[in-house]
Amino acid sequence: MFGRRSPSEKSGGLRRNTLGNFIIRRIAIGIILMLGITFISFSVTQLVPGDPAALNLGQSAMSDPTIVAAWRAKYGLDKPVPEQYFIYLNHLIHGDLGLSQQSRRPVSTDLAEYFPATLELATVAIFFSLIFGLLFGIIAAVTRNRWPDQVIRFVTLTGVSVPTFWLSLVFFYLFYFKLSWFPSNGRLDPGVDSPSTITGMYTVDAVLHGQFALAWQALRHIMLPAIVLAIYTIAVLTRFTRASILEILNNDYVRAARAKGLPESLVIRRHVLRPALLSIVTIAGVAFGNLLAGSVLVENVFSWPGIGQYAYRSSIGLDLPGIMGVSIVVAGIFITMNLLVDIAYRFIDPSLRHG
Amino acid sequence: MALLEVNNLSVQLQTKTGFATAVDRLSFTLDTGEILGIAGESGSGKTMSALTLLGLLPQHAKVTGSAKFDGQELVGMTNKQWQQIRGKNIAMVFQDPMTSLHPMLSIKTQMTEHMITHLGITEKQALVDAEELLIDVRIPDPKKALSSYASQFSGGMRQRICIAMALACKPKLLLADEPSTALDVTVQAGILTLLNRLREEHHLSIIFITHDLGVLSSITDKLLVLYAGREVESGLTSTILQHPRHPYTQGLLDSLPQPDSKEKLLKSIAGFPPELGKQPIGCAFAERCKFAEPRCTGHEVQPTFAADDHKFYCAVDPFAFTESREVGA
Ligand SMILES: Nc1ncnc2c1ncn2[C@@H]1O[C@H](COP(=O)(O)OP(=O)(O)OP(=O)(O)O)[C@@H](O)[C@H]1O
Ligand code: SF4
Ligand SMILES: [Mg+2]
Repeated sequence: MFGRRSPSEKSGGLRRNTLGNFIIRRIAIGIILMLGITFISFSVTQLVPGDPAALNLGQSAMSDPTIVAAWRAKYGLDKPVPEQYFIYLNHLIHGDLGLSQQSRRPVSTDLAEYFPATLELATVAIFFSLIFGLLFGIIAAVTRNRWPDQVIRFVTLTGVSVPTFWLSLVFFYLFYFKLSWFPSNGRLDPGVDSPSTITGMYTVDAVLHGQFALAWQALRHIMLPAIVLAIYTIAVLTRFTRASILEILNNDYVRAARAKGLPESLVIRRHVLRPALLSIVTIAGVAFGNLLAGSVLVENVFSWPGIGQYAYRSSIGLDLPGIMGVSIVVAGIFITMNLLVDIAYRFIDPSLRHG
Repeated sequence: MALLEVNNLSVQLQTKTGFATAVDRLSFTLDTGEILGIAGESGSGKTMSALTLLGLLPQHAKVTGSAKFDGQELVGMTNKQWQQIRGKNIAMVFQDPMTSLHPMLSIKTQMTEHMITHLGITEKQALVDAEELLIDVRIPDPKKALSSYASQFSGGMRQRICIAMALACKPKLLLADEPSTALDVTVQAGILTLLNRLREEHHLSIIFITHDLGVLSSITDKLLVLYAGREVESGLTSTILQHPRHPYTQGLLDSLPQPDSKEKLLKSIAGFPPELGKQPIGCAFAERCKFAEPRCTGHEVQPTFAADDHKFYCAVDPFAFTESREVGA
């Protein structure tokens, strides 16, 4: 999936390999993948035990067969299973993900509300993760086995081993309850109106409306959960960055660069970091995907109304349209991340763009 | 004063079982414009000797003895001092052209970055110079080459680019580590002619490393034959090729393919050199030498001077009275 092109493909010469063609090809593949995923998610929901009608209609309504039949007809549940899939697909293409049986609203409306909250949180978290993960990773690699490396190793090992749920509670208690460095739960202070929706991300919307104080408030609310989320990702990225740099350092071309008398900082920056970034970007893409899929635990502790919470509630309520909506969004996230990573490859390694 | 004076230079490398001597008390001198050939089988310490002169040995390596370049002691220099020498005064062309160019940086970047660092010139000026250098090493269409990447060139072309890169800052000494071994024979010959021409045009001194004595004969002035990290014979190339005195040198020459002979099978020397760190006291070649006697091992073999500039380390000297070989193959 992330493989470099084989030499034979490289000498294929005449094949046009422009960025545009590449992206179009990848989007086409993405659409096919999405179709496959809708099919799988649909099939899985067919296997889930439990009668949605029974879950959604009250006991007295259940005893009336006409009401049950009407309900089933409304959601296409009286049709044969394959036909149900195509009904579902047709609705999907028109942006209709069905009605959530929990919120009694269209799933698309729910997602448009919950997903931007997670997107906002994940973006801040991955921003921290990239900055500190790369920084610590580089420091650890160039001070290999000396004290800075050892300190970083200890800290990151702690970072990957501490359970996020525990960390959330501790941070919440410490920085909110004891030190009051950060505001309370939720996306804004209690009683404050959210900015009118453009992207659904409060910080962005507030800025777009010129409400800078509100944007600042929203940002302060994001910080604590974002830091908690970032800690694990920072630890992973640090360890990964260190390992890839050390691997690249062994290459002949690094020794050749040193033999030219370049300052070590330039050798690292230009000759080592660039190839190391190829694998780092892959991991960062997966990490961002994971963050975007939402963290039930962190979102719960910080009362963050994100996709993780929505997925959790849909699952325990056996809300099939909700579950399917979430799976489609999550699948879309990972396919998009994959595409972005592949595009990033071509910017990091310009030789891929030359035939 | 010689450009390079190496005295009792030793290198110890860290191995799993402790430190092992990879280069053992090497001594030689090199004058401006001279080409010294260093020959020896794989693992004899050729690359390590060259890397010592650039301060690029593997981590934790220990260097003793002395190497004076232009009067300046190289052994014990700090990283900052090395940066002034590397690329600017001493440049190196590495063994494998397929791996020593960066795959993701354009040739332009790789050709000019050290010029900008060392010569304090602008990128624009460096590009002009780079283009000239590429013409010098006979790269067709140098403009296009500059904006290309390593993967777009063949091995021979890559090695030419590496040589151009090495010459970019007009170094006084070029370390050429088997620059042609990884290439096929005709490409190899081209590289040799190129180096020979460049040494005259650029007033270069060259240390030319190879395991193939045949390659050395055509371009080197002096020769140093290494075995298991130690010198076994040294002197003028023509003298050694005519009248090699050490059995190992004899063996190397015998194993060269003879252009006029129909024999396809080469007479390679049987056996293997001692492992790193397992060199015996006395002659390290004893295990494979058909002239070996008890006096060869157990104590250091003293050098014998066949002439002022022809020295070898053999206690038996079985070839003292053999006739000269025919040279010119
Ligand atoms: N990084 C290293 N750590 C420890 N030992 C090493 C290292 N690199 C090389 N050696 C050992 O040092 C010895 C000398 O190696 P060197 O590379 O100088 O040989 P060479 O004469 O250049 O051989 P070749 O013709 O194969 O290039 C060998 O025994 C080799 O195994
Ligand atoms: S010293 Fe002895 S073993 Fe060594 S090369 Fe001479 S004859 Fe052979
Ligand atoms: Mg070598």
